[in-house]
Amino acid sequence: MQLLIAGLVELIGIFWAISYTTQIKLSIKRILFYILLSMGPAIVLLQFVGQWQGIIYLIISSFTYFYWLSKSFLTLIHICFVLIFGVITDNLSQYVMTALPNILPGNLEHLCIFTLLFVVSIIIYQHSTRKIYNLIGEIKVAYMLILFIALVTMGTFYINLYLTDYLSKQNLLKFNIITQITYFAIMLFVLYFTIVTIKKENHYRKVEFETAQYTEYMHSLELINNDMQKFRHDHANILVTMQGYIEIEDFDGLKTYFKKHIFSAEEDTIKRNMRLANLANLKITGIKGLILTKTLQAEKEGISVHIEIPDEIEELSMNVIDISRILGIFLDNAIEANIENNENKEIDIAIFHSMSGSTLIIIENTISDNSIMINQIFDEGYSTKGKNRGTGLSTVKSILKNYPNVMLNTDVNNGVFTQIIEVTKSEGIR
Amino acid sequence: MKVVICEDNPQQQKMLYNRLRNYAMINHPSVEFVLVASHSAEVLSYLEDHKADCYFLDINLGDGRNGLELASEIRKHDPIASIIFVTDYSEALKLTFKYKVAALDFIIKRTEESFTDELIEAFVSSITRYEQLGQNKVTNFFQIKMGELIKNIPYENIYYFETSEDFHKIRLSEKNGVFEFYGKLKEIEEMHSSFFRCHKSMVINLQNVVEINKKEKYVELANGVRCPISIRALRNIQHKVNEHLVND
Repeated sequence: MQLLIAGLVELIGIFWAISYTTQIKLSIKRILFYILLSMGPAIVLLQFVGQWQGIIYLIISSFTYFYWLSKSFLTLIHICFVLIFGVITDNLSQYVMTALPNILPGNLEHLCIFTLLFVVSIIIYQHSTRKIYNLIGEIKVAYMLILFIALVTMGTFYINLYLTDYLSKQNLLKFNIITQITYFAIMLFVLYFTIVTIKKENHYRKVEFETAQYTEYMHSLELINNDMQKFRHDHANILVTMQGYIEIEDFDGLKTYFKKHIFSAEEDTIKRNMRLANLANLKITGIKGLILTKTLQAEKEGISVHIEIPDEIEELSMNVIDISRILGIFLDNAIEANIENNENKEIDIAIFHSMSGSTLIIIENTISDNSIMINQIFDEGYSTKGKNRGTGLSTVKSILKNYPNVMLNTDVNNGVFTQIIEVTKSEGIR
Repeated sequence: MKVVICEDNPQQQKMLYNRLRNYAMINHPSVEFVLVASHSAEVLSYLEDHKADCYFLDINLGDGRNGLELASEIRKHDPIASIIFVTDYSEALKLTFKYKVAALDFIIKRTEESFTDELIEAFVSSITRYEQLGQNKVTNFFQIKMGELIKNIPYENIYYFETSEDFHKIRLSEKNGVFEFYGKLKEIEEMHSSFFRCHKSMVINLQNVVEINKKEKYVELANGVRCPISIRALRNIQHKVNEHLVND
């Protein structure tokens, strides 16, 4: 009789916990169905056939029933955790009982402590994991993994709890060793699988990013090519015009025409070729595309951009996405600072290897007002609760937190603002 | 001060040498022109067993080895000598010169007068630098190395040093910028009498403290940044600040 009551209390507890964690609304009809299909047969099995047969029936029928009700994968995970907590709190309450003085008769006290612990742990579980599940969102692989881990853990717990009763002491030891090793091996496999998945995901993200950058780069090249073609067309016109001046022997006119049109046109072409030639040394396509795109954007604003890449740059000990984001922010800031400027619009970009083998990336631009820029930077110093002024610098800082091999120096001097990134070689960070 | 000139164009070489020598003879007679070369190889062989304090280099040396490479070689032998580039190349590698070989200056050969002025100006700054190095004035600065360029930051400009959570990176915040380097706060704390460890991960410069708020436990610096202060440091800071004011 006492066993029956205990079993009933545990079943009700579990039923409540499942409905509470899965947030399934329960009508009387549903409860009756559950008792009829799952609890009733389980109790019969527990009483007349054996403990573990009953438990297995209960688990499988609960899984099916609640899954059918909610049609949600998460339900299965919740049930697993509820059952795991059931085992843990059951053991815990037995331990607590030995520590407390006997007030109530043995079984009743156990039941009370168990109920209390179980309810508290389920409420804690529900509140602490809600955020985690929100974070995971739609990633199916993650749910599969969590369910797998929960199932294996739950299985191991129950096997340990109920099957061991049937074994002799000698066999028990063997059995324990086997379950422990199996459990450990499965967990290692899960870990391996997780790492592989993350790696794949990262690789995919990188390739996607590089493709986007490459497309943009091609687009920039096209623009430059169009410019060149236009120039070639102009070239023919220029020759014809010059011929006109020569024929009527207007040499003064020719002189001014030459200075005004040809010289400046040639200068533009030389500049453009120069820029492409300078970028040729940069072998990292992602960054190359970004710099070219931003250069064209800056020139549209009337800013003269000057690129120095004297050394071949093939590799950086940084993730391409991270360095591109940082350079993007810095170049945007440089362009923005120059737009406010009236004269002397200039951006200098340099990438080269230092003598100690590190790589330096420098972005320098003129600014109109020393003090404004300084405040913007210092206002969001890393320790203070300063506000983010939208310069993106906090993003840069949070990216660089992952790179012990990268130093960022910011210098403001005589109306010149300089960002210097020094990347030293490092193993292990990609 | 020993000066080396390397320029492949004979006329320009002569002009360069004459201008510099004329200026030095009147103003700084101790300046000595130890080598006037037209090939980088001459400079390299000179470097094998001699040293100079100031180099004037043409960027596009005709023998294929450009000025940048030559400057790198010089830097390998001598990290502090002044290097001044002379170039007729308008797309000069300004930043590269500055940070890669710590060039003191570079002068573009434009019109006659402005060229001479710039040349003499650069020459004077190299002489001043040479004298400062001799008097060891650099001890009043905190030095940061960026590439090969050494930046001297006057102590009074420094606001604070701070460590990042997980690495040995230290971030220095000063009047004109923010810089990062590898180091230990403990060593920095002992570097100057006005440096004060206000917190496990922070050393502030007492010269730039504007306010100490004991109630909310922070120190406000001249740039408006509020640094948290530990209870133990709070007990010492007032005393330290007073002591510092007396000393000044």
